[in-house]
Amino acid sequence: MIPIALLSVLALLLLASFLWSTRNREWEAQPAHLEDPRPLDGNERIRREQLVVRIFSREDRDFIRRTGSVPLQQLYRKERQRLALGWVRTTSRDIAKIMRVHRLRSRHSSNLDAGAETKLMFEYLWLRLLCATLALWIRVFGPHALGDFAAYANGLYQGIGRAASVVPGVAPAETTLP
Amino acid sequence: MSEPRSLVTMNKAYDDLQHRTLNTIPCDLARLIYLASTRDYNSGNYHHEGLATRYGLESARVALRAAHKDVFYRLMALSLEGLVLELEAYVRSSREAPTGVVHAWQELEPYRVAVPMEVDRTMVLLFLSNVKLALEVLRLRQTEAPERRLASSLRPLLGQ
Repeated sequence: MIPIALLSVLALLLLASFLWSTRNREWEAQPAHLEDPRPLDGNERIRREQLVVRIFSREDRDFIRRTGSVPLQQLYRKERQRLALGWVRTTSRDIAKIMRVHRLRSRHSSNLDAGAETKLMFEYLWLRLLCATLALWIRVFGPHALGDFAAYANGLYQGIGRAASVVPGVAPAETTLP
Repeated sequence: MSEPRSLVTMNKAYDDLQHRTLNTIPCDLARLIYLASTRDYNSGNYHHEGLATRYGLESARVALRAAHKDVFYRLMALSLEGLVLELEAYVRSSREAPTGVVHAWQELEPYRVAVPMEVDRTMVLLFLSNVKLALEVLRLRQTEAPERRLASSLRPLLGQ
């Protein structure tokens, strides 16, 4: 009983930390493509994976370390932390939009698969929790220890995006975000 | 029928742009700057007189926009070390004094207007951040190089 309570408190703290971190500066201005969530095509998927690899890259950190310049290393840490947190925020916000569109479209469907919907919702909540955890860990440890974790979150994001775009009996363009 | 034909024309315009123009430019960073310079600041439309004459205004625009995005994605995917090499190649190709180029780029940040429109914002921010860091690495190397030369020239004297 106690571990469950502790885990719940921890999860709430993580969510609170994430919600706090989302009220932030330059990621507030969203590009047009994020206003229209849609499944990514093959090239976009690859680019998104490359983006995650680059932001969380240890190779870049090691390169900067080899310069031996402390101010440069500090600048690098600051820049990468800012980018990594921005990526987490964008991913979290983007997936929330995708799910919102999915919910709106689901209202028009008469033959929804309850099992698939439950799985999708569970994966969505899991991804939001992952994002909250990532945001916290990036602040504490920096982004470089979290490359695999971020790649996993990105894979989950893409999987949800694909699954959420399919609503039985509803054409993709029937409902858009208000 | 006209849509596949226009697609063929756009592909031809793209290939032409690659072979006649972009392949003669020494590095991707210089290609990015060149392609950004063909874009109108007010409308965001691309224009290339030669391509437009040969393939039509719209096909030329599409080819320039696609090439601009392709070059940007290649640069975005580079490691920081790779980007420093790109920047060094760009500085060499500019035929200006290397310290002057790095200083001007740090002050004016011309690379900010060289990014294509309608690309993922996080990718743009990663690119801008990487160029900023790469410039800092180059500046550091430029300040260290004279010190290293001085130290190596003093070593034989000190050894005497």
